[in-house]
Amino acid sequence: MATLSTEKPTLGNYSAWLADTTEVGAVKSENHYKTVTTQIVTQITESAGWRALISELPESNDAYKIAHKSQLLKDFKIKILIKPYASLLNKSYRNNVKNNKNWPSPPDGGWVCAPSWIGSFKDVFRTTITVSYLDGIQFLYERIKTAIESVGSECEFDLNSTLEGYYAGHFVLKGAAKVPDFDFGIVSQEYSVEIQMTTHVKEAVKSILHPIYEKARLGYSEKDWQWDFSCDEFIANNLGHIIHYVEGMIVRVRNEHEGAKS
Amino acid sequence: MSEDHVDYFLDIGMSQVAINRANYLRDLLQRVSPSKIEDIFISDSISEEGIRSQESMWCFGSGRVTEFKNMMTSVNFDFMSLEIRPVWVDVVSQDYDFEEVNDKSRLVVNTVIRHPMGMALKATRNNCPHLTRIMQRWLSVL
Repeated sequence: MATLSTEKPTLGNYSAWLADTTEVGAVKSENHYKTVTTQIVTQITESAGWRALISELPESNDAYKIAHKSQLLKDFKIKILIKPYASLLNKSYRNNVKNNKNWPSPPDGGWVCAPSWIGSFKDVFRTTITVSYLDGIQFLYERIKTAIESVGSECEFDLNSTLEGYYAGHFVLKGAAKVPDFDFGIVSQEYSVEIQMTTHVKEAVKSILHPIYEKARLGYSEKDWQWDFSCDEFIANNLGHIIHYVEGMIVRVRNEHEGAKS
Repeated sequence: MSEDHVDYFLDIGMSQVAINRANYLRDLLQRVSPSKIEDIFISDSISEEGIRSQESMWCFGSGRVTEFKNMMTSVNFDFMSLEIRPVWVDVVSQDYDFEEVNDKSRLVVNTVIRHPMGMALKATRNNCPHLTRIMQRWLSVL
């Protein structure tokens, strides 16, 4: 292990710093990540938990249709996306350097680095399920959770909401895969698949406003956006709250209408 | 529900929820009219995104047909006598040669039993041969 400098690396020279600190070359680290993540995706799609999830989608769609006379889902196809290596590096930078209270010592739990960092983040493998109505998120979660747990797999769910107008359900499917380590041995690697559950409207708006969210995530904007109506964040973040409110009202009106008819 | 019907439901890719719904409607019909259901056909469609949905459920038997309209979202059914032969049957086939089916196969059968009453039956993929069989058994003009 190299001697640690007390000066924090920048994001620009972080890759070299990480390689020097952990004694794992940057190229080796990236190649290993790409190989292992591809293998894990194959094993995820063959896992009992994932198959239970996929099988449950048409069941939930039909159950929602019976309950509310409306489709829950537009599509049953879900593609697992792998976090790009650059994003992984960026995220590890925030853990190891930017938000590391122990600097220059490792953060609690040790340096986040290859080969174990795949298990350190919940969103290395991620996908999105979009539903028609706001209440569909919890409706779908409850059914998927039951299906996944019935085959002995593990999952977590959290309803996220932030001051910045982000609202989504985060469903995490957990498991373990057999992957090669640096020495070509086979080791068990725990993984998480983050399934973001959102609505069609929120997803459409997110794709339009993604550049603004990305800028904010990278910490380029320190503005007090809540009072600065001229900044992009004012529009993007408040739009998130407004849409959430409108979607909630739509469900409420629909439910009241359904109650009045029954 | 006979095993044949469950096999048919599974064959055309109905979810367990949809099968339960079909069973529920079948039981309702038996309460209203406890005569034997000899055949069941499910009209289905496929969205642009590839989601296959069930629309109407048709129950044939005892010289009549019962249609459960929008079977997944309502309980709304009517009866029509099949004691007389249809006066007109219109068949529209797409990517289906009455032998082999593929993902694009579609079959629509419109028929008039006694003007203006009739049926509009439609099938996708491997439901097309089932509709062909229904047409041959129950809607023959010959």
